[in-house]
Amino acid sequence: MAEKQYKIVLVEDDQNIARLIKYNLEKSGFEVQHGINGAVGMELVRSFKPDLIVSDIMMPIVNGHTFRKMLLAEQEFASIPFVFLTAKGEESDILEGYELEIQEYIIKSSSPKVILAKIQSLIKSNEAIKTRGESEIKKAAASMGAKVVPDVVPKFEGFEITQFHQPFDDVPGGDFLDYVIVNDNSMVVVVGDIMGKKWGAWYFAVAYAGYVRSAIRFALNDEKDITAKEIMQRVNESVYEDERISDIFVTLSIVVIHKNKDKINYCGAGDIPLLHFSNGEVEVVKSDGTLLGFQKDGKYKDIYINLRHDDEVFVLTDGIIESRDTRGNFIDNQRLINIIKAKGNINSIKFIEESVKELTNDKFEDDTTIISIKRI
Amino acid sequence: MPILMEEMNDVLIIIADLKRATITDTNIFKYKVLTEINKGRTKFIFNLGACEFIDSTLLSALVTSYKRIVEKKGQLKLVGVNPVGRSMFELTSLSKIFEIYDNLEKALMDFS
Repeated sequence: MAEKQYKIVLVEDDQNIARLIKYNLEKSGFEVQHGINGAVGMELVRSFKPDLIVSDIMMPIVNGHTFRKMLLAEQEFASIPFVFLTAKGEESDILEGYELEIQEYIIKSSSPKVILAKIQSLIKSNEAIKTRGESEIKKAAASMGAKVVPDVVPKFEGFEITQFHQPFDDVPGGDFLDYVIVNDNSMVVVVGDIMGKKWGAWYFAVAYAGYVRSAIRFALNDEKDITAKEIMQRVNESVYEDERISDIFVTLSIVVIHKNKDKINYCGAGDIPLLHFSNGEVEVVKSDGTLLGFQKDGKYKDIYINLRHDDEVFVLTDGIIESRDTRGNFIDNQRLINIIKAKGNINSIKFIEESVKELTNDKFEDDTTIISIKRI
Repeated sequence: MPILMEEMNDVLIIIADLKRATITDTNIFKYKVLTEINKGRTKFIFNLGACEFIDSTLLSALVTSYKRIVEKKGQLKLVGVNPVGRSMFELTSLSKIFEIYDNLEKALMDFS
């Protein structure tokens, strides 16, 4: 089987048959949970969230047809691929089964090998459909301009900004970053991380990037120098009030830089601390603000960092420090600091990217984002 | 089942019996906790002692659970957070949100 372990709910009242099928499925790499009728099956589907459901038809209490109808009635479960595995092999039985929007109808007299082959083939074809769908969404997202990570970093006088971003499993996810030119003299750098993965998190990343941009524009109306804390507070107030995203939590780093000025302004919300590289040493700059949307007053504060020429500030999400090397040890904050210290005069982001990829064998467990803001 | 439950006095202990607590188990974890909250339970301990790694989706489930429990005037305490997890809680200020205990006995004693 592929690397991912597929989850199957098997609903079968005959314990001997269930044991045999479960054994064969597990031997082939599937994770299987078994229920003895449709009612138990329904509970398992709710809690286990399977990729596929295999069910008998004739069972006490809640039979297979009723079970299927219960699933179809719930939007969340209606689209989970469903297979009837039954002794009922008459033409009318099979047609009745297919009327319930199932993907496959397998007669129990088939050999275990044939049953397994049919299930594997079904999963393979569903994966292909999913991949095609994802590719379509990617194309649509790109054409909408709904990118959560810009391709190009804008040039900004007095600074050199570089970035490394790699989505988890090559699917856009919860990390987002943005560079907003506020006026001729100021730019805001935004690095956020939705607590989640892949498309579900990506959707909210798009929404949050929009919230941050709106907050920056809104703050501009005040006709005074915008601070990172003001932006953070405005974003937090908006998302805290928004019930649609009340269960979505986000970490956010906001850095405001001014042309040719030595001082940059930072505010963080539950984010990974910034790393300030200066004269061969690295200082950890920690913000105490809480996750966005968690409480109305996130207790955010402005932090100012003085940058000398060639100083660098690294803004990052947790992707790098939560990844593991080939021995299974985490690349924690201290190891990242050691990598930064070892970089010498070469391009930091390239060095960090290559070092971490070598340590992890290019296997990350989350979206990975790091930006360097260098005073030049 | 990777998510186990145990009751001591009126405190529900939810044990994440997972070496790697990730997106794969987030839904079942959240479902079980929210079901218990809806039943009216207010005192919870999450035992994360078996977890060598907790990813951001499960962290999000912890935060959601905390929010729901506090809304119902309940209490949530965490035990068994390993050094790696603890350092992540510290780095991201989540340690300010959660009450984290070294062991179960202390957490149980601290319920008001």
